[in-house]
Amino acid sequence: VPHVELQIVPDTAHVRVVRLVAVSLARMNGLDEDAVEDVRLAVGEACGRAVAAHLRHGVEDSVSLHLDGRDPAADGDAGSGETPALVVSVQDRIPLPAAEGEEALRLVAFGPDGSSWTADGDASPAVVGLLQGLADGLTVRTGEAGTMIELSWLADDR
Amino acid sequence: VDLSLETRNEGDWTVISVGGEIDVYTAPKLRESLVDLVNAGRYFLVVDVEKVDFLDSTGLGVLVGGLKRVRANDGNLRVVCTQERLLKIFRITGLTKVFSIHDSVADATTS
Repeated sequence: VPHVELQIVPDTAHVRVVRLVAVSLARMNGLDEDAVEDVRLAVGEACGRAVAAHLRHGVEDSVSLHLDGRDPAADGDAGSGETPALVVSVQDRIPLPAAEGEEALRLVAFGPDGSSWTADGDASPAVVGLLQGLADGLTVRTGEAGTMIELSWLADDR
Repeated sequence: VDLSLETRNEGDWTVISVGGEIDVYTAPKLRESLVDLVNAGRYFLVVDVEKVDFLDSTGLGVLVGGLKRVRANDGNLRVVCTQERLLKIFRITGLTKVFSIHDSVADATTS
C-alpha cells in the first residue's frame, strides 16, 4: 500500500512540492485526470492554508502530511467504490477550540471569532468551499494541537 | 516553473497576461503588479489567465483585492479565461458572479 509522509517547514515555496507528490500518488492509484486535477488543487489548498497559518503565527514547526493510496490487491473487486483510492491528511500546529464536523468546518472557514475572510487573517471560506467542492470526502478536526484536514477520493465514482 | 507577467496598454485598458502557476508562493508577485498599476493610475485592468497552468484561492484573493482597488477608483477589472479547469474554481467559490469573465482580450476591452 503506497504510504507517504511529508514534513514541510513553513515556507510557501514547498507547497508546490506537496502538490506534485499528491498528483503522482493520485495517478499511481488510478484516479482519472479530472480527479487528479481536483487532488492537485485541494491538497495545495489544505497545505497552503496550513503553511500560511504557521507563517502568520510565527510557528516554525513543520506541517505534517500523510498520503495513503489504496491497496492495489483490492482492485479486483469491481465496483467497490467505497474504499478511497487516495486519502490525504494535513495537520497544522495552530491551536483552535476543539471541534469536529460542521463546527470544525465553520472554525476553519470563519475563524474562532466568526470574522469574515480577510487577506491576512486565518479565516478562509474560499479554501473550505474548494475542499468541499473538490474532494469526495472531507473531515476536519480542530483542537489545542492544531487542525487536521483529511481529504479522500474514491476510485470508481466518475 | 514560476509566474510570468506581461503588461501592455490597449486604449483605456491595461492588459496583464499571466503565465505559469498562481499559488500561495507566487500570488504576492501578482498582487504587487496590480497594486503598482493602480498606484500608477491604471484603473481599467484586464487579467488574462489563458496561459495559467494552476490557480489557487490565494490567486483568487489577489484578483478580488485588485477588483476592490480599481472599483474604489471607479475602475474595473475583467478576467479573460476559457480554461474549464480554472472556470470551475471561479464557479465553486462563487466568483463567477463577482468577475466579468471574457473569452478573449478583444472581447474584454471592447464590450
